[in-house]
Amino acid sequence: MKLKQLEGLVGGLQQFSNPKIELEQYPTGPHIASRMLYTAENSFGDVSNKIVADFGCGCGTLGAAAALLGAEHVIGIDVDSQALELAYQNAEDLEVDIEYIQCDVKNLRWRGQSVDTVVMNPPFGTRKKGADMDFLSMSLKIASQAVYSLHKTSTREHVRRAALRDFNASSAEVLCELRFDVPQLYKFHKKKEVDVAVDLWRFVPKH
Amino acid sequence: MRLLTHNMLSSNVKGVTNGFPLGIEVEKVVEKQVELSADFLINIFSKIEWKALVDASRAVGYAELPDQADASMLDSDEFLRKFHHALLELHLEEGALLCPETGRRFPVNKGIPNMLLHEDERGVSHGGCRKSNTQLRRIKYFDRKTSLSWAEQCIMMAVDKLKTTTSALCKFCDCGKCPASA
Ligand SMILES: C[S@@+](CC[C@H](N)C(=O)[O-])C[C@H]1O[C@@H](n2cnc3c(N)ncnc32)[C@H](O)[C@@H]1O
Repeated sequence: MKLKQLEGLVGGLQQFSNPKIELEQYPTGPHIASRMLYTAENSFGDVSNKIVADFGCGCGTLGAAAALLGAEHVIGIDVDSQALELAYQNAEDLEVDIEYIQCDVKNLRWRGQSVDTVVMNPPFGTRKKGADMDFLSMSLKIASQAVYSLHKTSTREHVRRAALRDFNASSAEVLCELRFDVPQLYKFHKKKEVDVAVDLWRFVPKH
Repeated sequence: MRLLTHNMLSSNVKGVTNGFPLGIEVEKVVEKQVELSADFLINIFSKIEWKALVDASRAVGYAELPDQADASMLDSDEFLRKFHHALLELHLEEGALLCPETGRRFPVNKGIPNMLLHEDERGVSHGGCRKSNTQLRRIKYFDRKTSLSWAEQCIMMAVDKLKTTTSALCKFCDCGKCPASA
């Protein structure tokens, strides 16, 4: 599948209608989501025929993109039942098979490194400090092959240090820097759209 | 929920040491056909807990898997077909998963297991702490370096805090669970 095609397909998905501030529910846009998964597949072979988990799946964009690129088994995890319902509906509309689990990512307990690849757009930790790190730490315990994640560019050194020193990463690489439009969903955002610089990371877990 | 997912999940209730495999309570099972990929099955085989898959497939009404399996069987198309069917095509649509140690029931609705925990079931992951701030993060680092219990860490943090401020014991955590917030 071509990148443009993938972007077009995930661009048709429904987004949060009633985002919850404390959970940092803003959608991963089709531009970023398609590039993230396209790179994972075409540069690293981390998607097709693999087991992929989407942490904090929200509207389900990343998992849907993984399924469209031929992942064998996709699992979306979110703490919020409304987000899961939306993701479920989006998967039905796209006619892709995706599994969902309602769980707090912090409390996941899986048998070993049972998925190949984790893709995620974690909460940046602006509402709940450390939320991004909880996601990173857990993803590196559960993935055997790679973790793709978005983190604010301003936290780059912290993310690198935490991944390599405290969590289970053997390598941590910034693939590219992106602009993330956080739409004005929330009253506390003064500007219409807040444009944040984010890094697309690829981490490789230790075995 | 496919049985492949069941084969990966473990009970996450605090204090449970062996939460795998989860028991299955069936209300409704659905079958969805998907294309068979021999490569995928051959790769995944070594990661599957065979007995758990056999028991789960029987629980949902499919009795065709052999009790024992080894990699040599992957040469047989018939075996691959059954393995594929059990692993990827049978879905627990309505029912529940059961913690093997505590019996805690995790309901499954529309194929989605609900693994949310009540506050008193969460582990030492500070899940109950609403006011997580830098100090809480420091605890986590602490956590990894030493192997102090949660209670000990809270006390140490409280002492730490008393040294720098004169405020009452430990304001940084209001989870209501740890001694620091009591
Ligand atoms: C930035 S959004 C991700 C958006 C998603 N990738 C999409 O395409 O819409 C973060 C998501 O993480 C979820 N979330 C926040 N904290 C969580 C936690 N502790 N465990 C699981 N999910 C969580 C939120 O409900 C939200 O859907």
